Amino acid sequence: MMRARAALRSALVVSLQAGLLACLLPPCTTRRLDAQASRPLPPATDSLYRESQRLLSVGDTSSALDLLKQVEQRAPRFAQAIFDHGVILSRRSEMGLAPDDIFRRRLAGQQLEKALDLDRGNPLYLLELGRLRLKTPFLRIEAERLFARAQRSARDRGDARVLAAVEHELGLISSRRFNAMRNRRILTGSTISFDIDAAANDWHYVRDFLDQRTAAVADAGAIDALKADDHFRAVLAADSSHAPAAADLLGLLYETGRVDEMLPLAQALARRQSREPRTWMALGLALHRLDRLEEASIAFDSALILFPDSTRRELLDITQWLRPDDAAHLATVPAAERRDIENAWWRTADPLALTPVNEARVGLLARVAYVDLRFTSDEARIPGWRTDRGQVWIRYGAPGEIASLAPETQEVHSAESLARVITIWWYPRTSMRFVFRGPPAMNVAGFAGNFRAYTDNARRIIPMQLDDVNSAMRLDTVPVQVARFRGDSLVRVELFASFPTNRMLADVDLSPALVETGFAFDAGAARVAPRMLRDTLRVRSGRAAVASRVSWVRNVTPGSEYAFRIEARQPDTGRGARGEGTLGVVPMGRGGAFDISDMIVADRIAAPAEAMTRAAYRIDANPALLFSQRDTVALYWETYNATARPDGAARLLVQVTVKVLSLDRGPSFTARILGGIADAVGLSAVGNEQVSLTFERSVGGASSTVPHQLALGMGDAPAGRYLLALDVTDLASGRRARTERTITLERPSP
Amino acid sequence: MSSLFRVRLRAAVLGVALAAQQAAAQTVTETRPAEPQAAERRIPRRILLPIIMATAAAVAASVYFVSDADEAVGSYVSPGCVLPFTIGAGLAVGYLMGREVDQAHALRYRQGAPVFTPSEQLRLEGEPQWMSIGDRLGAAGGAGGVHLFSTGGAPRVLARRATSIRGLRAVEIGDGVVAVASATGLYEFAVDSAVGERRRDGDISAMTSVRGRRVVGIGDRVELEPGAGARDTAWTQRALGAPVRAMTTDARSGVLWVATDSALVALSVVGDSLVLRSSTRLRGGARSVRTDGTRVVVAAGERGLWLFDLDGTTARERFVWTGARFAYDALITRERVYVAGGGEGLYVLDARAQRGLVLGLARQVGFAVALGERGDYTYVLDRTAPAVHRIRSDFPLR
Repeated sequence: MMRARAALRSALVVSLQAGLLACLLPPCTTRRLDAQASRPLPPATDSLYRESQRLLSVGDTSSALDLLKQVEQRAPRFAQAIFDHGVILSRRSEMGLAPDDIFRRRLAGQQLEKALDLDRGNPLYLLELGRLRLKTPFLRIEAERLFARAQRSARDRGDARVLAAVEHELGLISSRRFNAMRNRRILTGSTISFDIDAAANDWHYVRDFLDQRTAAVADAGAIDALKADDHFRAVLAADSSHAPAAADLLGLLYETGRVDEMLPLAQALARRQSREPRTWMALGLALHRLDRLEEASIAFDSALILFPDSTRRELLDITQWLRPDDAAHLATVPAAERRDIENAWWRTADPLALTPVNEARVGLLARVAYVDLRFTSDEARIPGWRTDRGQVWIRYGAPGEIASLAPETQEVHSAESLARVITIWWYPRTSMRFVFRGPPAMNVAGFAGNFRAYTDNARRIIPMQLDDVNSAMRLDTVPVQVARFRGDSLVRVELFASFPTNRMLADVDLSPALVETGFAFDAGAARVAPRMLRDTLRVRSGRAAVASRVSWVRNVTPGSEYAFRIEARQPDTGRGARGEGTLGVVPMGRGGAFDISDMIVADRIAAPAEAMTRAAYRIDANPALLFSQRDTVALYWETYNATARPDGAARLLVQVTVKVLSLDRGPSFTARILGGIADAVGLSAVGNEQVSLTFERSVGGASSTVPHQLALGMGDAPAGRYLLALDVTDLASGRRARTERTITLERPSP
Repeated sequence: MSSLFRVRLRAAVLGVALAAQQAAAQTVTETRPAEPQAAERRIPRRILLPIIMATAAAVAASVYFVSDADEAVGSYVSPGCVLPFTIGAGLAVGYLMGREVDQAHALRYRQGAPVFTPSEQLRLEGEPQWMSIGDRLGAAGGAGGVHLFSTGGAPRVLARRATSIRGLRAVEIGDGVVAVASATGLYEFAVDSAVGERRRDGDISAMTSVRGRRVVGIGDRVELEPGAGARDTAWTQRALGAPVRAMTTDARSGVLWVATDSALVALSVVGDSLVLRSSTRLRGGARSVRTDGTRVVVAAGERGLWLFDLDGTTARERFVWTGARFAYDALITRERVYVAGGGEGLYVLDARAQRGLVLGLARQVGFAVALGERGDYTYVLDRTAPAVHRIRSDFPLR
């Protein structure tokens, strides 16, 4: 038994040694063939070969293949034809373990090896054989070895073009390893695998898993990044027009946070490869990252011009950022209307019309540029923006956290899972998560488990996010209160805005600080480009900063829809705020009918005792409709065409109702009426959720337009949202009109 | 020959064969021509680690030689089998590990031998990119504002200014004032006041001061602040024909050195005029320009570094060094040129050599993007930590 074991061991060792030595020894049986391979082709065969090349150049690979087979029969030592045959078969085969592909790869491999036998060390043949090996699982190390041989051979032969191609392949190998490793996390404790179903069903799972059951690997992939960097630069040194290597190097620099290095390279490449849209996209991406948005916009536009029409339309197609139903509906509308909608969509997405660029458009194109550089798969022949990862990235931007887990070894029963790298994207603000699965060291990954369905569902709820765009600008909201009043023949629209300069400038240490403001009010809702009326505010900064209130009046023709947009921007910091909305403007008091205006909700209203026109009232409107507890809420409104009695006065019954919509604490409250309303009567509480105040008012009949004011003390009303409803009845005609607002009482600051 | 000896011999041959195969498959190749550099004394880890691993394996396997060990382990794992196998495995694993370490070392130190720089480190916040060192204070700025720190002793954070200015391009610490140049203008912040002011508008790409007057680069122009008490408040302009990228002032002579995309220009201030003294061709844009009065060094990003000798106000190119993947900043300190090489670290070059001779590469300073000098110390700004490292300018290289 002992002897048998020893013999077995001995045989094993000897066979291993033999195998290894065989690997080390150069092949010595092809020298004769080499010599024969350099013979010139007979003219007939040569013309056949030329024809095959022509067919290949026009994409007729089947006919070319037939001709190449004939060439091989007539000149069996002609390596180039054998090689071309192998390349066609190789290009037709896909990566993976499908029987067809295995068969094609085997045939391709035989052809390429045969060509190599005839022209030993030909770097191009080695390169193609390496590419073929790359498509075969478990043979990637062999591929790398072949590329290394090709590299040496190309250097020896001084073949710059093939050297560039080989360096590119080597760079891609390192780059893929880097991308697979850079966010690598290792499982800790007793955790043995990541539960994809749990990740889809329970948002806590991903957060907890990343926090509690994994640990980040420091500097993972750093060496591969350096290798890839060297290889890609070597490609460009050999062939400065090599667009794929340029794109890959730019992507690598971006991924490693070296945008300062990326920018001059992208600029230089854009000059050298001025017709290459990917380079311009990369330049735009670098400029965007460096907050040079105007230049980025120009770079993106330059790229879009260079893309084919179909690609340009695809990249700018807004349906990718819409809910599926809306996207389907948009596809059915006529082209002209669709164009209008698309233009309106881009304008609405633009955070600030005050700036010369549409930051949202630039931001979204930067996402497209990133996914093009990062997820474009030459192996799968798919551009980055069509990949699963690319589409999620374009829709939601960069995840807050990315983690990749080492290839799965536990799921031995699942061919889909086994030996696949799992990549997790986590968006903390929305708790969205996406899980992808793909082969190791390849730039290919698709949704794992049920995550395709999860993503479809997520898109229905949140079709897109512009967090990154808006957070870079720290975009705030401008609250706006709009009120419509009857004018002479038009409708007077008053807009009150409160620029949040208190928040925008709270941590700004400049004095004085300037804030640019813009106001646009146009007919045609959001379908027209806003024409901004610009102004500048000089405001205090730091702790002394306060909100700035501004108002505008516009007299407009009734019967249309109007859109307003109000913006503020602090140029030194780039921070901005905006408010916008649409309103329909209808005639008021048409045909002499009794009517009421909108109500202005204000902090204070001051007016002379007998004020009978709006101009006499000084109104400090509260655009946010936000009050503190115990504040007084001042109201202003107008009535029109009240029927005068014979004594010339009209009598109106006014009912003010304050109704609780939602409370922060306690359902009951009491309201107290303050102000100079001498004839206030009939205060009654309805249940414990609303109070109403009813009073009769006599107004002069000299003017058909009568201004009114009222002050409501909210007393100890608890924090919450309240509906303020104003019902006015013309007692003579019996006509009734109503207007209402929703106000908020703030909780006191702790 | 005993059977045990034969087995061990075979195992040894196997180990050698494995090592040879790995060496044959080694794919890392140098793709850039190596610049001259000082020799490095280092034991290759692909030799050292196999020895260590084999020794460790031998120690671990020695348990099999303890009496009665066979009985506890089992019948077919004898010491005679386990020992060579374990040692062989140790050799192979050690070799593979060592090879990886050597590859990493070769990639990281392809242009210079490692040197160690003892440093004092000051942690910052945000993403500082620019730095200026003054007599008592230093300023490091970028996204997140400008940190002011002391330079009298170990660096210590004192205050933060310009907390929200976007697009910072340069900072300069002066006499009680820190100036900040950005895409939106030039700002000044008093060191002892929390409030600053915008001095002028413009997309400013570079900034320096000449005898207390600010000089800025805007587009392809250099603009000089009006003198104190001048009636005309307009800044004096001088167009240079190419975008201004960086500028510095020779404190002794008052000569202003401006690096554009195509030239290194010497200007001097005469009254309210900027007078051209010389212009030397540069091939590519610069990121920074520094002078010590006798030499000018230009860091030009991926184009490397230029060192010029000065003959009055004329610059004569001594060498161009392209060893760093990207030269962010450079500084001449006595006999050395320091180059901030980003993620590669801090290159130390011989300032006396006629070619770019690398004396060493210090990686402990992290992602070096900006440099400054005061007294015996050099300050290195590490963008990713982020931190300021203070090292002795003449730290020993061995």
